[in-house]
Amino acid sequence: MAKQVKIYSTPTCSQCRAAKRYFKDKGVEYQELDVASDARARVEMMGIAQTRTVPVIVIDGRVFVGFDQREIEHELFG
Amino acid sequence: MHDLMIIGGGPAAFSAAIYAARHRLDAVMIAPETGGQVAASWLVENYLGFPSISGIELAERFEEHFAHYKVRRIEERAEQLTRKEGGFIVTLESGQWVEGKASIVATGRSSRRLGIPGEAEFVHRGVTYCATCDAPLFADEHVAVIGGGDAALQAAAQLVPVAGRVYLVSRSPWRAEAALQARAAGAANLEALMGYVPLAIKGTEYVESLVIRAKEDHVERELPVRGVFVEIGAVPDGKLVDGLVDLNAAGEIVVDRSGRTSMPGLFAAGDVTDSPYKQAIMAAGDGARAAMAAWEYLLGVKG
Repeated sequence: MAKQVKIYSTPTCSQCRAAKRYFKDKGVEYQELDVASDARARVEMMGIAQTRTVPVIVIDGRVFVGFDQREIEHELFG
Repeated sequence: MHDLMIIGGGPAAFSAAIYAARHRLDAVMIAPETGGQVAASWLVENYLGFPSISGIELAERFEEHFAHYKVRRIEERAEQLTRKEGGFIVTLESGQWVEGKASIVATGRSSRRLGIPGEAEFVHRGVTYCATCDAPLFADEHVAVIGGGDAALQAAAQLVPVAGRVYLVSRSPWRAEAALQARAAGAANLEALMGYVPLAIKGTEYVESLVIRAKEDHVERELPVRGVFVEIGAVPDGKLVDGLVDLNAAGEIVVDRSGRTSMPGLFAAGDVTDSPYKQAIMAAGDGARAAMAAWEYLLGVKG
């Protein structure tokens, strides 16, 4: 079954962009939350990740701060 | 074995890749991210041909331009560069490796740390090195920007419309471009604190305050801020070739006017080198020059 992928991002963050491009390249569907414009998503992100930076990526409940391609690849594809 | 390995993903590397392709070199570019420091810039207003463009868009233009040429790209970090007979080997973070007869190191720079108590503890919990990325997370809150150069003034300009109050803390008078200074100077919610040294960052879960001390009378102030934006310059990422080529005291790779390092076949370009004035447009020029020097070198090697 496909894993649930969520990314909290801002439009101006290059790591967010790299992560989204990676998901597109790999055909991974993801939900995007723009924490620059969505205050509720911002609070939610800080709650689940205890962080104030983007991106935060959540894959089936596991939280990753920043985009480390190898780490995400391992989580997605084993 | 490739002709040329270009390590880096900023303007120097992209420009080198394009010149290498046009000289019909079999080149490979090794970089996990696109744009380098350009991608983290808010607005770029001094890159020829682009009166005003966001850093991320300019980085996209680099990529689009690069895509016109068939240059292999490996989106991984280069961990090590070593010499081998007839060329060099780059080890990647995945453990795989790439070989090339010549190489251009264009690994750029990364943010300089303050080195004060609380900084490491609160990274990503209020302490940030990328205002462009993280400024929107501090809507209506009080924040401090540390630094007085172009990047600091840009960070302040991004925070002014978003944050409640912006303290701009610098040891010395601002040395940013006059155009950037003018943009920050008029903001009602910006307080310029010149002549202050940052001492410590405090908080519990997230940052709650920044302690600074006046250079003149040593009086301390505790600024109630939720964000500390560190913009005090950058340090060269020359680790890859440490011990292999000459570095100067600042850790920059020493290059000649054609981008040659102290080792034949190994070139360097952009902000990682000892060339003066770190600017995107200069890095692009450096990259082009290093690629041409590498092409000449390879002609010689081929005999």
